[in-house]
Amino acid sequence: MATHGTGLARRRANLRRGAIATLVVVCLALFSGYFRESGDGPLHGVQSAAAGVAAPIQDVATEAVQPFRDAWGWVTSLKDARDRAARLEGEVEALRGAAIENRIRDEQLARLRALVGVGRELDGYEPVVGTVIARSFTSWYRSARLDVGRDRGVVQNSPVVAGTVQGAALVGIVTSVRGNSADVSFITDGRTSVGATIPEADSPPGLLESTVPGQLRLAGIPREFPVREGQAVVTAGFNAPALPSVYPYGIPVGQVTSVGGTEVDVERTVQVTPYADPRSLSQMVVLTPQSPQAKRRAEG
Amino acid sequence: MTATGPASAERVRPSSARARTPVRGAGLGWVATMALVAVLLQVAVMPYVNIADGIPDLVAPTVVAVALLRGTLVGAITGFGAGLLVELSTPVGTLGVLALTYLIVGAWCGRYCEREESTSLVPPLVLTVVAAFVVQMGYMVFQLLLGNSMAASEFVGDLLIPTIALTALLSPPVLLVARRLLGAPRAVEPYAAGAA
Repeated sequence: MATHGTGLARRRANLRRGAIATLVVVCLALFSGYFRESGDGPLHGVQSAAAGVAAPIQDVATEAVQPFRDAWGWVTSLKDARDRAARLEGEVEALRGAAIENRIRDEQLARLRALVGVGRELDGYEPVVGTVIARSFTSWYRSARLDVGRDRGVVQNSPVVAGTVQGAALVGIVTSVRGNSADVSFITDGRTSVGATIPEADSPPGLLESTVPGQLRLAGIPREFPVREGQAVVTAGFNAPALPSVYPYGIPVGQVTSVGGTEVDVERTVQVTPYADPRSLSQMVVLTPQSPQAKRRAEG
Repeated sequence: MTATGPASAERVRPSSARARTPVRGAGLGWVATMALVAVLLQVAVMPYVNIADGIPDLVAPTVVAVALLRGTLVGAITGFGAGLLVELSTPVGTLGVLALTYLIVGAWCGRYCEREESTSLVPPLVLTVVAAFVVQMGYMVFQLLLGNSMAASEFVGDLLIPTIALTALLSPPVLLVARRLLGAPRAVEPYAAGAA
């Protein structure tokens, strides 16, 4: 009896170990296969199909928990409400002055555009509003999933913007798209880089990349250009002087918060704070390419 | 402590604990439900509970609780399934990584199912914190293998510590709910009767 019991216990232990070892092998096979195959391989297809199935469920879950998320957002915003109020009062004063100046510039810009027919690149895009239905669970991936996909004309490499107090600002780019949902990588993700420029400094295109959480660094700006704190950073339309970007020219990205570098440096170190904080957004606008030029940009 | 004979479908547990068990069978239906709910909350809610860059990990305490109450095999399978579901339903660029880390956590914590159940919440809480730490470190190792880097100070200060702290705060209710739903610990083994 004891022998029988010991034998069965050993058999159980072996089966248990075998099952766990099999699962470990499956995990490693999934991991290896996933990174060896191309973006349209079978495992990516399975992930995409699962995301498509989960999207409606996530949509419902997102709606259900929205009041709780709003309550959480309200509670967390209380801590810095007083500081924000004081800062915003100062900004309002500055913006009133800037608004008058901008109105004059807008009129000049409209006249110049009519004369030369440039600077209308955003006209080649159709805005599609999407609701965030899922977010990355880890800071290794700063990304979100929207409830709009191919069914609404969204394609890979479509720029994504969001409304801010400064107007529409760049949030990220569509990295994968399905029938009814699309994944967006934020500009604060380490794998995303944006060709950007500082119009007020008349700078050449530099490359904007994430550094610390919520901050960006604009590299490649020669030191002879008069970059100052507070200047606006917009997409350049190019990653380098001769390399077109998937982002059209002129989408606001953020504001210069510090300019560094020593006298011997060839380039400036420009820190940029993005206008939009993607973590707090529940809706975003996908700019779907419509014109031939916009479609060429999206094709990379 | 090991199984005692062919008729024994489960590990020997204190009779007083088993008497309080409201669950018939192994409660694997509840295990699946708990895992699904944890994944759904992890995907739909937790990313918004964001302090610094830390996001609470609700799946880790769920896997730990299931493993502590149902043993190594159920813990490992729950970890594998929950990790895979999270990776399939969120916009991240990995597949199989979380499944592996949660599987390891489930299998490891399941060993404690065979011991006397603690009357305090502290030991399972400590296990949960260690599990969350293992998951974060495991994910970091895979990211480094993929060539993605993060400053050590950023990883520890902005990601690891806030994540573990938030996970520890959220763990007690998860552990208590799991104990309530699944009842007393008993390891579910192959060839065991009543494992339904």
